[in-house]
Amino acid sequence: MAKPLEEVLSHHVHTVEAPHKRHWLLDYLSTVDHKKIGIMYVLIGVFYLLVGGVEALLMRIQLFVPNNQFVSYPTFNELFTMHGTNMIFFAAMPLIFGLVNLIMPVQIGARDVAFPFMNAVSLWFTFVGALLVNISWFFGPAPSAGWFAYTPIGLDKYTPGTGMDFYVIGLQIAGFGSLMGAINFIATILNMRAPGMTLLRMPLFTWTSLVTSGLIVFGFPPLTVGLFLYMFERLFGGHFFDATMGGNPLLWTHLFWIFGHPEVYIVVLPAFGMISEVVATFSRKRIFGYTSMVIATVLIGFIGFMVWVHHMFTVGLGAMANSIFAISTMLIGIPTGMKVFNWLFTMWGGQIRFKPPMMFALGFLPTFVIGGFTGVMLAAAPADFQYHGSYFVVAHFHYTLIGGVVFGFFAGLYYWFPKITGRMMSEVLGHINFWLMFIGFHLTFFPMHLAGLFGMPRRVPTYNPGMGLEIWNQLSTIGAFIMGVSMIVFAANVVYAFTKGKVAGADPWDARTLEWAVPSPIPEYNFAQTPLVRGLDPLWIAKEEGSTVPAAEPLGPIHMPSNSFLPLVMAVGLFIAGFAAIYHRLFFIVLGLEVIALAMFYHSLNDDEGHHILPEESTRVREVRA
Amino acid sequence: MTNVPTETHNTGTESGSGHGSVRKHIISFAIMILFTVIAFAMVGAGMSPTVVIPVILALAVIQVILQLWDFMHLNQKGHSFPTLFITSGALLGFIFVLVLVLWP
Ligand code: HEM
Ligand SMILES: [Cu+2]
Repeated sequence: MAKPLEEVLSHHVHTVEAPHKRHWLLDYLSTVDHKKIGIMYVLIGVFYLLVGGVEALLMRIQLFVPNNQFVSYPTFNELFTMHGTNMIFFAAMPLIFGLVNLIMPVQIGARDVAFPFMNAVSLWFTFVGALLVNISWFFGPAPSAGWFAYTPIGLDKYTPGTGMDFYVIGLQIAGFGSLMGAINFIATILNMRAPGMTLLRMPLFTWTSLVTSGLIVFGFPPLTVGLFLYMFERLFGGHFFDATMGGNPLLWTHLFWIFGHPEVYIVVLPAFGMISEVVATFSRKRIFGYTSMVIATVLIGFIGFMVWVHHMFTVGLGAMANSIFAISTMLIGIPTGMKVFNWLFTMWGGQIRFKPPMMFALGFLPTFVIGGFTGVMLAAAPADFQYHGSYFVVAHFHYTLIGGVVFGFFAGLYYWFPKITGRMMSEVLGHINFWLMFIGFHLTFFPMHLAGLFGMPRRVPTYNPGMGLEIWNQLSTIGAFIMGVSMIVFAANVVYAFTKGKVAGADPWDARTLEWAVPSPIPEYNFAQTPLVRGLDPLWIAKEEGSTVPAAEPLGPIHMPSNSFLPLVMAVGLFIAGFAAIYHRLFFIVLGLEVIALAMFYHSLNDDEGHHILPEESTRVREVRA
Repeated sequence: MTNVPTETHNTGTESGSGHGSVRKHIISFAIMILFTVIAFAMVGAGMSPTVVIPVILALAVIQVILQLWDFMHLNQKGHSFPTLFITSGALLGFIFVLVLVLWP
């Protein structure tokens, strides 16, 4: 319980004054506020979504006609490698981290994440990691061994030049950021829930954030270890993966997919959570089978670690390994199916409102289910010998990644945009955005199933005429451009919202969870008074009683952490050290690491008490009275 | 319990008397240093790998257990989440290593 005002003040008199106003840019560069950090994560994610999208369009132009010479073949390798790397690591991950940061703490009635300073460190590490991988375009060849960087092809001997070095170092840095972020989310969810918010009253988006964070904590270390060995192999003459020197290339393949398969669930689980929130809100019903949704999420998280060998069916591990992992892979379909049925039953008999977020959720369902079907087809190990390395696999994972993650994310973004910015987006543009994306998506990726079955291998820069592949490739390219247009409509919608958008109230969708009980945009301190939670969907319970969510504490001063530039400084140090490592400049490696060490030292010794926001502050009083 | 971010305040909350005595920590810390010295000394003395490898592995296993027990507080009540996380991590690690050994 909050201490009496006088007592708090007597302890912290020196820190009570409000922080002086900074220029907005400096404020963002030094912020430790989970909402501003979340916005920057989302911006990073959207930026790399566009970069990856442009890379995809270039590939689709190249494949429009047989024997095309639009890009050179080595450039094509760089394009598909950077496309995959950007989309998974620097589009999907930051978008997920962004929305979790923006929404999860508010959903559980907290005022920030558990470690606001570390949160900023995560953000900036992700930022410089992404930057490092992508500036490889300007420093010689870009990475070109695929987003999975298979050995031996990715080793110095077969892919010379600095491209893969940028990949290895950049991903390592971004990976540190992800790990810290996940630890932060776990600590937040387990320790900072408002009174009454038991585990089984947490919104499903929070649950999926928790499980995803767990997957990161267990899934990223294998990647960290793998990248570490890779770094020694490429930069310092080690031989872990080089068979000609007694190494084992399969070691990397294992390590990568031990991480890689959980990774696909890391990005899709929060999207499941967003879909759950949107479906419940726009069906005006409590989510069907809440407990089974929680169980399914945890099961998916657990089984997700037992299936990675399904990416390695054709490397020759033998019938035993293939059978075990084929069965474990098919098992994942069960909890996933539970979720699909729960969403359907939530809609059944609900009052469905076809707003843009719901449209994306409705588009998500059949699309993701098709991706799941083809996944189970691929999981049949003997059949996979036919599909593997073909466009059929490309079709499968885009149905899951775009149908699951991107549609889920757009549902979430359209849903929470008013909460984050205080403005409504245009519904008409939202519907146009959805339909262009939905049609463009299926036109792009459905033909890929057929191209694959008719023999088109993936990762090839061109194909011969007269093999019956032209029509499928042309449809795909047209579809890809339609998707491109849908992104422009989305950008237009954002511009519309900021110029002409209606002002959104606290609860524009008639929603159910706590984030809709606070004003839009969310004030710095989230809750003037920590809320008291009395069940699942606390806001809905209050609305049914015709009241508001009750407070669990009297109005008192709110302790806030101080801004700091140190996270940015540390990230810059790591960037310098990483960049120098690629070019073997020992002096700058040491310099960069020194910067980090000094920053950490300073942060440990600097006893920063933060500051307090006093209840007299007129805005809060007004808000509480309203 | 207030749910204010207390990053700057939480130093000290963990060092309360409820978390085992300093003496125990120092003893297991000393044991770990000793083990490390033994491992280095055995390699330095040029002993045969058939002896060195199993002994180092054994020392490592004991160290891990000591670490988890004394420093990660697995021996204490009320740490159910950390215990859950560490055991599931250990289980997953076991599976990864098993597969890597069976099908390298
Ligand atoms: C029912 C669930 C799923 C099953 C049974 C399944 C099965 C498979 C199998 C067997 C492969 C290997 C195909 C091959 O290379 O020959 C594969 C590849 C892939 N899957 Fe899935 N999958 C499922 C869900 C997902 C989800 C949810 C995602 C992402 C959100 C995803 C993303 C991918 C990706 C990215 C690849 C290709 C990796 C690469 O080689 O670059 N899958 N899937
Ligand atoms: Cu997989």
